[in-house]
Amino acid sequence: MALTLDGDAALVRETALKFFRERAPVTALRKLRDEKDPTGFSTALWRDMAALGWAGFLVSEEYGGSDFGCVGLGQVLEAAGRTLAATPLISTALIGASAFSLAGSAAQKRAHLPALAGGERVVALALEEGTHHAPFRIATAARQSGNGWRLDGEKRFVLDGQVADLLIVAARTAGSRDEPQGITLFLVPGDAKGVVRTRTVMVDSRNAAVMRFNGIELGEDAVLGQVDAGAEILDRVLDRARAGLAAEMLGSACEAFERTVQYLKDRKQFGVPIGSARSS
Amino acid sequence: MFKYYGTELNKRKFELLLACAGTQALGWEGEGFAADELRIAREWLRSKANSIEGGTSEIQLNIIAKRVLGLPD
Repeated sequence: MALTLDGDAALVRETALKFFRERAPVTALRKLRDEKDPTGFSTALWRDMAALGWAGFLVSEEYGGSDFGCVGLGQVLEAAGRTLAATPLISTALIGASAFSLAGSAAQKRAHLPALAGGERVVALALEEGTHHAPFRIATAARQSGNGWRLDGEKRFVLDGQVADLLIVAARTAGSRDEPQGITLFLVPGDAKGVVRTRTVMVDSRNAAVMRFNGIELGEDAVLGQVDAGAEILDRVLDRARAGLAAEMLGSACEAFERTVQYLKDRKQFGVPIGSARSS
Repeated sequence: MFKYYGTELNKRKFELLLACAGTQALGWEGEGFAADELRIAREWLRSKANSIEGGTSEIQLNIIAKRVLGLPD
């Protein structure tokens, strides 16, 4: 793996930097925040990002994506971080696409990936149940019910949860609360009967929701991957998610640093630029 | 000295509160948070300015060096 970008990735980087500067500067996020926009992001912007192929970077060509890969998606995420752009990149293009690509059956991929890559379906991973990241600490339970499953429990901090068309819910089908073994991933429509979602307003003005699952009835085909073996999928999906989050934060950190350095040169106090003082 | 120590301690206090409360300390307003949880994010942000306003921590250390330790200008 080279540590410099190849031509294609460099082009994506340039395009993305320009795109977010022009189409989603920081003022766009503030507007969503101040107007209490119910979706929390611009669906028109997301559709345009999908048209550029970004929603399908981790989706294979067979299902409407480009398989361009994580490095390419990382460029887009870093650019989005520079303007604090609110988009479902992490929830859908990164986590959702990865979960289906790594664990979906052909039928599940066919049913969801083309719409995901087309910017028409937002996916949210409902994983956390406490206040600190603990991916295998799961009490939300799925019990066998007839030919399918019945889901009960509560999830917190679900990114894009309140607007997601489809949820990927990590539930326990076996084992004790902290065991990785016995976790199963279930596909749940966002508007399924028994799903209660409450949006939480967070300090970063992005989307996060609390969700209650009250006796959701699911078929066998709702299982993503193998029963009891969801932890392995989560491990791989979360690895990508952490790298993607780091890319976004890198963009924000670089932008904040560059603006600060510029301010030190521009801002004058007592007749001199403040950056010229040894200590202030 | 009190200004320096008090403001740095206040920043550490809010970092600790944030670490303990986790996502419950990151709410801005509205449902899902207790009243004192909602204060944490705002006061944590505010505490960052404490060590800049009224003479930055760096300046406080310069003053301490000169007046208390008698170091030259």
